[in-house]
Amino acid sequence: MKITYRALDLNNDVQLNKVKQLIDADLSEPYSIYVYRYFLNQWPELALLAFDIESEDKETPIGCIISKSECHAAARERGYIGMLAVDHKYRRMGIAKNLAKLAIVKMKTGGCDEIMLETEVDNFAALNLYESLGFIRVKRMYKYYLNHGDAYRLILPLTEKAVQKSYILNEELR
Amino acid sequence: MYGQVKYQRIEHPRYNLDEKLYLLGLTDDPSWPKDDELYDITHIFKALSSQMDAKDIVKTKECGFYEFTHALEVNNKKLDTSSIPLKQEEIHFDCNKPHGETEEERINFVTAIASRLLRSITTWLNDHQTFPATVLSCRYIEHFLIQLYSLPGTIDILKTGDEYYDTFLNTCTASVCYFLSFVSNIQETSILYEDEDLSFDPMALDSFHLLRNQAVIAKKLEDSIKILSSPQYLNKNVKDLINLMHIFSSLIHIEDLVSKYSEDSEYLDKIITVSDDLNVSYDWSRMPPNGSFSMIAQKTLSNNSPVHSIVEPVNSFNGWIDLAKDLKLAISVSQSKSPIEFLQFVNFFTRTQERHPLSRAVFLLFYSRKNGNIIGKYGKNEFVDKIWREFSTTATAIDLQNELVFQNLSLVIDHCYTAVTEWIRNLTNNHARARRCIGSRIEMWSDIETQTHTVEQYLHKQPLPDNIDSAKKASHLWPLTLWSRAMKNSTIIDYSLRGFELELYQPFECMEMTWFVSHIASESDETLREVEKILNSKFNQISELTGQLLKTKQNVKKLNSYKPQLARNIKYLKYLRAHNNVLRKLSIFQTYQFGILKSYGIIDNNELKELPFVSCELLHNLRFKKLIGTKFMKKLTYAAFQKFLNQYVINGPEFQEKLQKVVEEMKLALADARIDVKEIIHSINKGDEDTSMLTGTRLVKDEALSFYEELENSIELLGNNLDTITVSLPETVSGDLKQKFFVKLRYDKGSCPYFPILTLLEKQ
Repeated sequence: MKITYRALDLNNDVQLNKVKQLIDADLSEPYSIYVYRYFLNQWPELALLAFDIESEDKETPIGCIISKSECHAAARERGYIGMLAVDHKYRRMGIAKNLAKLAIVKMKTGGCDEIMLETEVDNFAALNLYESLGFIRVKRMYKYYLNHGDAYRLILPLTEKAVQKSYILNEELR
Repeated sequence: MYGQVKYQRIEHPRYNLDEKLYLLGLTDDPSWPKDDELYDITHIFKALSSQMDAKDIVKTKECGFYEFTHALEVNNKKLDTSSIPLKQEEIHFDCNKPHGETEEERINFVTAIASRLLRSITTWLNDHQTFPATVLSCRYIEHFLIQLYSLPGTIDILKTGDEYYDTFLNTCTASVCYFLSFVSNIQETSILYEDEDLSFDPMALDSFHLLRNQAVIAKKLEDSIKILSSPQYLNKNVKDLINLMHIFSSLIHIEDLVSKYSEDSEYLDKIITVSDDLNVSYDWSRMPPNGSFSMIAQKTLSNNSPVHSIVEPVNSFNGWIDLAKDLKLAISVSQSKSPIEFLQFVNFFTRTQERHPLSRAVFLLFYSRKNGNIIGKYGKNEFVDKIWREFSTTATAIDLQNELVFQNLSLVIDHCYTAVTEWIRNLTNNHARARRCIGSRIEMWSDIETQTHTVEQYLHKQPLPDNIDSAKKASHLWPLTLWSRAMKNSTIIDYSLRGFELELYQPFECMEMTWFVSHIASESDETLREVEKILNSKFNQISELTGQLLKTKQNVKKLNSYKPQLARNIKYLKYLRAHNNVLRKLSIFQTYQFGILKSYGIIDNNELKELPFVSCELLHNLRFKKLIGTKFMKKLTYAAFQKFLNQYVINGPEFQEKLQKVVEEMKLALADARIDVKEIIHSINKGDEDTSMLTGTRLVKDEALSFYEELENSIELLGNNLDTITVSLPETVSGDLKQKFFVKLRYDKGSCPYFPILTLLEKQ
């Protein structure tokens, strides 16, 4: 098998539907189409897909990462990884890590000062993945998800702005 | 799935026609709309949407953001509550018909409904489930609340013609609805956080606020219990129902704790004894009638939430026992005899276990009265002054009776009052929220330290009488500055250690965190020593003052009056230093432990340095972000940290000898900590009577003991782990041991989560 990665084609319904399937398959949070459109329409370049180009269905994504990037607290550009999923058949091959790395590179080159995400406290696969990329847990949030699971917020700081308090940065800007 | 954005709850006004018709009683079929009442617009929709681009956004004036997103949830099984499947028995369940053919069946049904309803309340509140999936799944609650809109002022809602339903179950339902009003009021105070503490979405059924007359419901419950206890019902298997009604009866009095600041815990005791009784004797074979608990409310009412399956309550009344015990503990704070006892109550109330959210809310509303009074004993100025006096200002120039002092300190008092009450509120939060709030207040304590120091410097230049030391020999020790510094230090330590409890730190971060805690604890010890110095100096001066210095008898009396307070303070300081020393020694131990593992190349505090996106310095600064702005962090740069940490790494020749020395040092640290913990435990057990320390834990004895016993267990576990590690590691550092071993943080039950075990494990 040979895996390639490319950005989502917003006009390709097959890709969008497969992305929804991949994410809906095993996540606890329920998302409406609005949530997907919120991310994909505004930040299509930060929605990256993985394809097995040696498979019969080489145009169907087997993994995806959906992210966004926006100004946080008028102080820093914050990248945010919203969803990351890989088809069960393609797990433990480093595809999720590659998707995350590609998204980080995109966000970094796009000017992000930090990248943030949340994940369930007992999702050890996700925690291992992100922590192996340098994310650290900055807070725990009780009953964060609808299934009443706690979440960790993780951040990867990319620039000095990420480690300054927002009000200090805002004062400097003034 | 490797991570997920949180589903955002959408709040929007009620707009469902079916819900309105149902509430108005114009339709009794909540399964509306039926297929033949709908017009199929699929072809129109498809024709129009085929002309759209994926990026097009449709907006109309009539359809706002919330309606728009809600509409997009249609047919999504996880989100669309209108698609909840219902059984016929749920659709046609009638609250105005008596269920059960015989009297025995009706007793069993009513008892089973009441029992499940009570257990659903604790499932909701204790187990953090949603309101619709628990209490509101009871058809009688839904029916009662709907009917209340049209029948305000009455609580006789059920009209089945059967006494068991119309009198007994009706009264139980009224009691629950009254209690809901109390919970709703608590929620409106914003003390508890939506979702993380309490999930209360009544789906626009808020008629419980119409239930105002507690006495009427109480009387009806009392009468019901009397009737059921009469000879007429003696042989009718109603004992369980009577017991249940006692809990319903107690339920409506919980609000008295905050509305009347009632210290009466008789009804809480009743909940405990009755629940104990029910746990033993309740007949669990009873089942409520089919359809009496249903998801129908989620389907038919104005529902902004996704689908929540009904949570079946467990067959136990322990939830009520837990709630009542936590509430009893919360209000016991009124028995504190001194600010030390009060503050220690706050310190230990939630320290080792999460308390019931209601008890945490009740505590905050109970201690801080509407008139600004603290537990009905202290006004603002008195409260702050007493806290200071119990720590460092007794017999100093910081005397609020002096007008000049008071004028200069009035703003400081305000700020300190805010800081202390915020600290109380922060500690009363759930543990995750507590750490975040504590962290965001570190800077405030730092500012207060600066502020107090500025005022004290000014006061020092004024012609103020020092109550003992006319030469002001001790005044340069700045008692208020020391108090605020001690508060700041303990806040930083607490914030840092709670990160371990919440499992925020990865193993590679341990060394930085434990070294930092030991460093702050050392600073803290210096601060406490200085205070001790003031207190001892004052105490000794009073003792040594001779008659020729005492001009009047009044002076003698005044000076002697300081002695008991100073003696208390000195004992309290001894406890604070011992407590601080335990944390310091264990943190030093942990730093050494990491240092050994680092010396063998198994773990490194900078082990992410090779990663492409990572700057270890940025990670370090992010971890300590909350502390930016404090004096410590100005000195403690990343480079300075590395320099300090490297002192704990063993290298060079005579490795084994150096290692042995470190191990000895570590064992000494544990031994020191053990001595202090044992002395603290001894003082707690003795109620501070005839002990060298004053712990002030009389009201939270079990909670304080639990904390220090956990620390004691940790000391043993850390010692055992050190032995295991030293045996597992080779005599010399050779080869790449990182390929063979890895380090995991272990949290053993019964040990203190602030000091997880750095466990050495072999890779598979």
